Amino acid sequence: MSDFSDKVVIVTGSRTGIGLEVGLAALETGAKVIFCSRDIEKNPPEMLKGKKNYFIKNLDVGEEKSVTDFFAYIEEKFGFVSILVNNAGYVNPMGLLDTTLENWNTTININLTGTFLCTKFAVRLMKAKGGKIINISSTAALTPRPGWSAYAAAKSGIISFSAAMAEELKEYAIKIFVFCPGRTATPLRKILAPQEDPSTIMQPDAVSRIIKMSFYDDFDVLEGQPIVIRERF
Amino acid sequence: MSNEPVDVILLAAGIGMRTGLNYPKQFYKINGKPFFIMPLEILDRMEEVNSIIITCAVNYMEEYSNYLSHYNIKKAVLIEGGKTRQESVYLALQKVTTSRVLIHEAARPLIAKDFVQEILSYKNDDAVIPTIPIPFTVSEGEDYMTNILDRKKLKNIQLPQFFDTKILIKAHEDAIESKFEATEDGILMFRLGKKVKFVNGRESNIKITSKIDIIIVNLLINSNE
Repeated sequence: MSDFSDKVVIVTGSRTGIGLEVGLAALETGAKVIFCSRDIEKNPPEMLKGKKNYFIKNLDVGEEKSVTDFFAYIEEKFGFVSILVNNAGYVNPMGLLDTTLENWNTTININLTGTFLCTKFAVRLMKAKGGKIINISSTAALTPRPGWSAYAAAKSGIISFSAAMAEELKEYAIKIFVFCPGRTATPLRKILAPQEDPSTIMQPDAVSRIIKMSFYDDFDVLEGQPIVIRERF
Repeated sequence: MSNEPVDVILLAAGIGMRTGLNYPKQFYKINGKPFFIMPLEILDRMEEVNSIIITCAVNYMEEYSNYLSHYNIKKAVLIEGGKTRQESVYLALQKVTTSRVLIHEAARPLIAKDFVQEILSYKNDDAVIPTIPIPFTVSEGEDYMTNILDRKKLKNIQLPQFFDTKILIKAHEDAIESKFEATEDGILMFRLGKKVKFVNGRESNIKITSKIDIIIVNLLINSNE
């Protein structure tokens, strides 16, 4: 197993759900892991208690000032980034005729613009040594369903953005991965599908274990293309 | 000779009239990136490099500064260029703090790290100049041929070039005193009576001077070769 003790891993949207599990999986590698979300400093995850090598920092991925402040902190504290996991997401499913511009903009902003902003400012700190950027899209990008148009647009934007980044950033030895998880038993999913039994769908730690594989070089062959993580129907 | 990191002068003050652009050619974007950033990214990452003194077109200082910030280039120092290439080098030499100096030009964006390292390995020569052979026939003349030149005896001179800083400053001051203007610094060192060492250049180390050079550099960058 590779030694990750000199690596710095950032996971956005890591207070709960898949992001939290990816952050915990990253901690297992020995890396320094930065957990971040809009209000994580006030409400740090209980599951971090007793853990070492983690840092928590507020980050609103859709706000450029918040992103630049966050990466200024990272630059000062660590000087570089090894792995960025763009996981922060937002969805409020609505039919087209009910979708307000505000809903559309927020969905695009958190999911797609947030991925762009964090990628941009992480690359400044990654390009000297190389690294990995792991973008979390969704099966909603590949098999969109009624009522999820804004989310589908944002998440498929992440796939195209990832493919473009894979080409553009190869000169810096930065690898880009894009995962498309299906239904996962996260707190957000519980709100979206309250009638669903969470134990019958994928668990966040199962998704995180697959995402963790991309930290290692053996996974590089799958760079730049959508990787579906979905249970068999 | 020590392994002291060296200062680099990057000449980027040219206006680039022959490219037909209405702004300095070094800001022309290849794959979305101004091409003067390309050599800077290589040099900025090299531990053999101390600081990079960039000579800039006077009216564009803010643009250079913004690009350096966007691309997180840490070792760069911006100075205003002179009226000529030679004056720009001389002005930049005043900022050099290391005993040897590497001079490169932004118009050659396709340098590789191992190429620069190879040039930097010639630490004992006063002047080190990469050259490539001239593959075509050359002659002198205006409307009619007046002389035939033997291409086997000729060299196409490239950058980056590597110098003893103090001697190069002396060569410049000597040239200023006698109002001598050269197109590159090896000539000034030769004129001073110093040995100018030729090392192998690279064919891919193209200098962008015209529109067709931009097309060739684009093709080379995107060829995956």
